[in-house]
Amino acid sequence: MQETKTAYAKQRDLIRRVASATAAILDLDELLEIAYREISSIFQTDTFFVALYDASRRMIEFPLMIDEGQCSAVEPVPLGEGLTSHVITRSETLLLRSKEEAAEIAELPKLYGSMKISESWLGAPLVIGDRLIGVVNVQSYRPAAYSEEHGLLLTTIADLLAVGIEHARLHEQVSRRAEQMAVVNEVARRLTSHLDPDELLQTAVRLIRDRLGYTQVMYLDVQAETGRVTVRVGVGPIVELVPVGSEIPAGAGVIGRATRLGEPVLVRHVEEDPDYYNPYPDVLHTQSELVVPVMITRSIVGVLDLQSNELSAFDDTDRLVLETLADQFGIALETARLYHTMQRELEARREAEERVTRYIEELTAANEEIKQFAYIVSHDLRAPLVNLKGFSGELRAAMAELSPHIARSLEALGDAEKREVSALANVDIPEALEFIDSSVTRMDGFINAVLKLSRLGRQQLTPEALDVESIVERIRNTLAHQLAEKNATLSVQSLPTAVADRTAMEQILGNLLANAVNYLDPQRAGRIEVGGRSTNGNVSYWVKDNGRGIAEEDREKVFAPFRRAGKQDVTGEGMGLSYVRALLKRMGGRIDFESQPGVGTIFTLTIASTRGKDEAK
Amino acid sequence: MSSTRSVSILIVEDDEGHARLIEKNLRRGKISNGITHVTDGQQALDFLYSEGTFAGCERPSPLLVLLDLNMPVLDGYQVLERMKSDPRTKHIPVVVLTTTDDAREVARCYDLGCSVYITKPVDYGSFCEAIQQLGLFMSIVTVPNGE
Repeated sequence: MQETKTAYAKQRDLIRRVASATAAILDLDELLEIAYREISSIFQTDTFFVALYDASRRMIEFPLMIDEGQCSAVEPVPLGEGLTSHVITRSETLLLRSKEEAAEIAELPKLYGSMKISESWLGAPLVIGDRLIGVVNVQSYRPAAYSEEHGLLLTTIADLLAVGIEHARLHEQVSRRAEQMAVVNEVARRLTSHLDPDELLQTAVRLIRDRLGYTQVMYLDVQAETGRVTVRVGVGPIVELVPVGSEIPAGAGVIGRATRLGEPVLVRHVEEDPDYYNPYPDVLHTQSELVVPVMITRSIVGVLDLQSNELSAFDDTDRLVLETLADQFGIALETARLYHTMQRELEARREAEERVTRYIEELTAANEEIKQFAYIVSHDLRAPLVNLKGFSGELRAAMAELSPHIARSLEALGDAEKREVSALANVDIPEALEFIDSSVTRMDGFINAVLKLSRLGRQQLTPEALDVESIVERIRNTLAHQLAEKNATLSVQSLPTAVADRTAMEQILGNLLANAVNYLDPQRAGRIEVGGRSTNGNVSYWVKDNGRGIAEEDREKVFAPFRRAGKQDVTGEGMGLSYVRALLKRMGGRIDFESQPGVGTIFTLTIASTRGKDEAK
Repeated sequence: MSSTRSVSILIVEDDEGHARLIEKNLRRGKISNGITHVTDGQQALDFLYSEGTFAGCERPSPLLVLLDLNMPVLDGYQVLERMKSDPRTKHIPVVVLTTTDDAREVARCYDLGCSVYITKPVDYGSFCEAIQQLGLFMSIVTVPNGE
């Protein structure tokens, strides 16, 4: 009675202790150790183990196996015909009192450490609700070491233990997940601080190895079109075997499959995977592998490859973590790529701008030189002309003084000589002087024209709102005499205002109108019209005449300095349209014409209607 | 009239032909004053300050300077600048006689203190007229007596 009571109290204490351990202890190994200690205080435990069953893989693992007080590591086994599998399949406690009784179900295996065979075997299912998670088992070399009562007790303890194991496993999972997510966060954060893709990848694989505890990590580039896979960066012993830059045959191995599928591939045991490919079987002892594709906008740009020399080194959590990281990778790589593209574009733009600036500087310098040249040439050319003209004038004056003396001297000469000297003094010398004079005058005209053209290039342009109609009216007044002389009419339509330099505009319109009047056809009454209109941001004016017209082959000639088209019966330097074009160019405008010889010409000038950028200088 | 007779004229002109034409026309304009001709700006300054080749020669006073702009060694602007910044010469009237009528150059000369700016026209008639009018001008203005 006393003994029964003590046994009952002992059982009750055991249950209470196991219950409190399962509530307090969140570490699986520690919990199982305590369970073993507590259980062995009541049960004979020549052998004790806790088996955990992975239903998805139908594998049985042994987190704790104690044989005659010694811990042994046991490889996982698939669900089979053994006694443990029997308990798992039926989810019932199994009590065996002897080898013979056991043999009816399954042959008892030899024990791991001692290599003996137990007589008594008691296993209780670890069950949470209706889900079986494993088996707790005690064995003894003695037959009938356990009673039905022992069976009930172990079943009760198993129920408590199952809850504790589940708690511990959940806790482990949660804390591992939290830790991994912290690492993912850190990696992601660090990734965004790198804008150089190679540096970024190097940092990333190192972080993944160091912070997530993998031994071999590689990033491989995948070329979408060719399927070519090349090692970009890597850490761990594998890098010595598969150095950066090595190419993996397209589609080969686990990487090939992940690339094809576009999704992660987790291989717990490479020998069982038909795709696994090992180029260095002698030195590379990979047991498990995890390959996660890195995508940028739904196309694969690379893969993260993790390999381990241990079986089942990776699980679904690893896959999840790596998938998250791969997404971050994709984003970071794309950002880095965009950044680099942008940098290149900015660089290209900057170079282009520099080039343009240089051209502008060169052009400005060249322009300046031309202006200077034109100025100096005209200036320096003038000095000798002053002498030519001056001394020919002096000669003429000398001749005038000389002529009475010559006349007197002629009296003394014979007829032939008289004629000769008279011709020299009265014809040849004055004629020579005349030619010198007229040539110098023409030369001076050219020089003045060049000087004027060069000045137009330097003239300060001050845009202001202009009443173009009144400008044309004033020009009409200056031309009134010529118009009347040629029996010509000038009609002016209503003209839009312009924003331009007043003097320049007067020069332009003055030249165009003077040309229109000068080149009228004397065969018919002259009609000249001036019109204009505003069109999207521009304002145009035209001068239309029914004059002699310009032949198509003279199109460029009329704008060239010193060139005049057609019959040379009108006096002029041939500079008018050169000035007009030079001025319009300065104002950012243009001039064009349409003409039909013998019918007439219409010149159209176009300038921006708003105040543009400063055209001065 | 008595004062004009005493005015000396310094022609600073690198073009011998121009100098000759100026002189001829001044003479035609009945200017009989003493005329000195130098061919560059340095000589002009030497003459004005009795230095170099003109060391020891006292500068005639009153004096009028006919100055060309484009010259070797020292150009007309430099001569004008020196003259107008030196109290000894700043009251001497300067007539700039040059080939260009560029508005900026004309303005620059007046800024520097020239009294009259005359463009040498290629048209000889106008040239003669300009020089002879200069003679007339000289006959009616009073040229200050140096310092």
